[in-house]
Amino acid sequence: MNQWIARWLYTTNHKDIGILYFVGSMYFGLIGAALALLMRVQLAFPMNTVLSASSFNQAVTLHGLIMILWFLSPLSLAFANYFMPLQIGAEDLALPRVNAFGYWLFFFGGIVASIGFLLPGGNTAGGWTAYAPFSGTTYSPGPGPTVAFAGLIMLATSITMGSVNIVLTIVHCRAPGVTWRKVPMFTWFIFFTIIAMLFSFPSFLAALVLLMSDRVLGTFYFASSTGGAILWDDLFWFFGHPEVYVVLLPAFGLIGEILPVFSSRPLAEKNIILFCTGAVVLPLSYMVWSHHMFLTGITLSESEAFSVATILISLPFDIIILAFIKTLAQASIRLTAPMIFCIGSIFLFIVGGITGVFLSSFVLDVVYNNTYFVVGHFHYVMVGAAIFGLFAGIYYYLPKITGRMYHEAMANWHFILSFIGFNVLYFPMFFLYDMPRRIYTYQSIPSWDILNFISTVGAFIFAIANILIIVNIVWTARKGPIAPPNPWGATTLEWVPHIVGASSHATGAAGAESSGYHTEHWSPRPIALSIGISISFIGLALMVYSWGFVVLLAGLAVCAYALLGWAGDDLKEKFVMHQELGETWPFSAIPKMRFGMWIFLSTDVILFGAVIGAYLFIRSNAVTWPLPGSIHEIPLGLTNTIVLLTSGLTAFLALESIKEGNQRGLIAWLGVTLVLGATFLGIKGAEWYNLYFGKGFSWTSGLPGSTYYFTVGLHAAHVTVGLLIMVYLIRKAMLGGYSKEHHVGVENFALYWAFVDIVWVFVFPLFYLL
Amino acid sequence: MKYIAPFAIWLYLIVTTVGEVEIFYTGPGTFSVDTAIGLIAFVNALITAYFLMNIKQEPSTIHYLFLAPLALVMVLILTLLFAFGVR
Repeated sequence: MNQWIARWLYTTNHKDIGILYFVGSMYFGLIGAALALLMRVQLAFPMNTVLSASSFNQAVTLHGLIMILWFLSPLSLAFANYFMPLQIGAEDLALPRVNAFGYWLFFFGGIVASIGFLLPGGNTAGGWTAYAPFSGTTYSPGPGPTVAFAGLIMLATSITMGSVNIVLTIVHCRAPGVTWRKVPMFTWFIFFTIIAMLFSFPSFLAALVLLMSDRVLGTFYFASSTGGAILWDDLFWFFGHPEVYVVLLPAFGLIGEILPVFSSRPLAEKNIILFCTGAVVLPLSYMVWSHHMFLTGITLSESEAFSVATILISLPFDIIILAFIKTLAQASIRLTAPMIFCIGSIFLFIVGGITGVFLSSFVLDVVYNNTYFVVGHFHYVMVGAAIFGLFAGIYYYLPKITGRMYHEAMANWHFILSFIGFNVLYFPMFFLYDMPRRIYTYQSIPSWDILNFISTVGAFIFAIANILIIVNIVWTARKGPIAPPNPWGATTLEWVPHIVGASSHATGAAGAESSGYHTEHWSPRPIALSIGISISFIGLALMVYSWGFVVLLAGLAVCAYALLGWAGDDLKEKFVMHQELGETWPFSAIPKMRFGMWIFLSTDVILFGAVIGAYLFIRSNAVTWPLPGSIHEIPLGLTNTIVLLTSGLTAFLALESIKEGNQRGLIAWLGVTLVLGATFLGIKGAEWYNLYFGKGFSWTSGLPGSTYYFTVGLHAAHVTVGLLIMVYLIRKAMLGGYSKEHHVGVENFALYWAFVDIVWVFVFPLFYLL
Repeated sequence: MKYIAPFAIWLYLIVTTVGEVEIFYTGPGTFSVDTAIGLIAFVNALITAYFLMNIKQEPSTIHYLFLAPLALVMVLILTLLFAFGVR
């Protein structure tokens, strides 16, 4: 294969993956923008017929999904991948192959989600929030929506893995001397962003997998008339509201980086900004989601609590903005493109923030809910503030990435036109507070007609403006004048020439392939595994056709091939992890990989918590429920519990054996654990067979069946993954891969297996005894 | 001697799990039985985490790391349960 192509397909280097995220997010951004223009053309005039109702609904749904999840979030990840390791002096991300896998899962997830447009019945059309029951098969039939939700599952998985990786890098891979006090603002904000991602995306993943289960297997989680819609709302918005900060905070991090450089003074109140951002992320961002549900019939007391929390979360943002303004006050400001975009971002955030306070009041929300006022508000925050901040970052770092200076005049015109276009597009929406959103057309009303037309004109100005940044990037990369190593006089580590290397700077830092580091660390496994997962999901969604199953099997075969290759690379120690000797406080006592496993398990807590929470919600709202012991064989469940608890002991003994350097003990105890785990699954299989065929108790027979099979099945899937890991560990142990000093793999497995035990300790009584 | 503790914990978990089932048969579906079973499951989960997962040997930062998602999950579950008020 051509070396250039191979590099971009197989790379695991953080800078290359940063570039890939940039290109990928821009690609999806263009699709999202095209859909937005279509919508605005349709709404430019009353009773317009450019789009049908169905096409409009598909466009509005995919526009939202793509812009939030495949454009804004990944654009931030582009910066995080490229610059965060440089800022903290790390060689790469902690898990480079996982990073590459995350990228390809994101990219193919977007492709898979878009395939729905080509399928009979079209794509998902129930809005980006995929509210139940619109997202179910009754109102969104056909394979298109199923494929779209499969793409979302891939994205949520990608983000969760990426979050674990980035937290691990920031915590465990900082160079000596890069203490927390010296961590630059952008990395701090990426850290906060990732914390928001870490605990919010698993809830989204749980909701999506439940939705897929409803659509493909015929379970009843969200189709239930006893609160199915509320269940989706809670699981979705538990993710959805923190996602606002996921989109916004990286832009604020870039602003925090850029303001001091271009105002020639330190960032004002840095510690207060960090404290406020920390408070926003944890806990406040997780305490406000129900303000999206004021009118869904939740209790008044719950509405009041979330209303107060929502007003509360605006306070730290006020302080952050005031600190930004204080930095600018009486400063010697250089008004270059990065700086003017920062100022634009702050201005737009203030407008978005003030209108957001209106919506936090559940009394006013009765009036504004589901109108264009809401559309205007969240576009000011999520598009205006976020995208202007990210544009500032692009201009700021373009000389670093390309080694060349961008065209300043073109960048200024980009700002002027996009600022005018943005405000002409979205400001009229505040006056459309009486026009419902998500309607594909409207009867002629003088005030609506003119405001919608102005808004559409603004959309085209904004779109044309943003062509300029693409032209500017291409021009810079090809013809821009050579940039000095530190054109802005910045003081953060990524601008220090010896860190980057003069040659890589001259050719573009991503062109570090000449160093030889890249080629040694190319891996085809991440992209192969992502392709396998994509094919599998497409097959799963197309099971309505007879050949769908064949596609699914083909996808699983590709996955198996890629995983075997991945494991084979590890057994050959092709990718030896470097032992970092830098700053690790406050996790110095925990080895990097073990810390990574703890982070992963903390996300799994949310996943299982959401699924068990869904069960408790359904159970508490169900009119009738089978008596405990009337369906499930309690002795069988008890036996299985004993088997699993015993396997927990043997896994522990396996770890203790290798801690003493006892290789044979390790293999023996792992073997026993493997047998016990397989026995657990065997008993479970027999139990399911008996329930399904003997008692007619299936996942489609009602909510008790749906919740039982899904929750126990999710646990069984974890057990199956554990068994596969054990096969790998035993193989590696037989090759002498573990010793008294090096046994992190066994340690991580023991943690994982104990977690699987703990989950079952709850699942058994919940489904068998209560 | 070294393995006495893990074996004792394992035995404790088995005995209490059998105990859960025994308690269940004394009055399935009653509030006191349900509460007792829930309490045993909670304690068993804690013990498994503390000893078999070795949380006791990890620094306190790991404890907080694990408590954060647990607290968030509790908020989610309570919000779900009280969405329509107490039943």
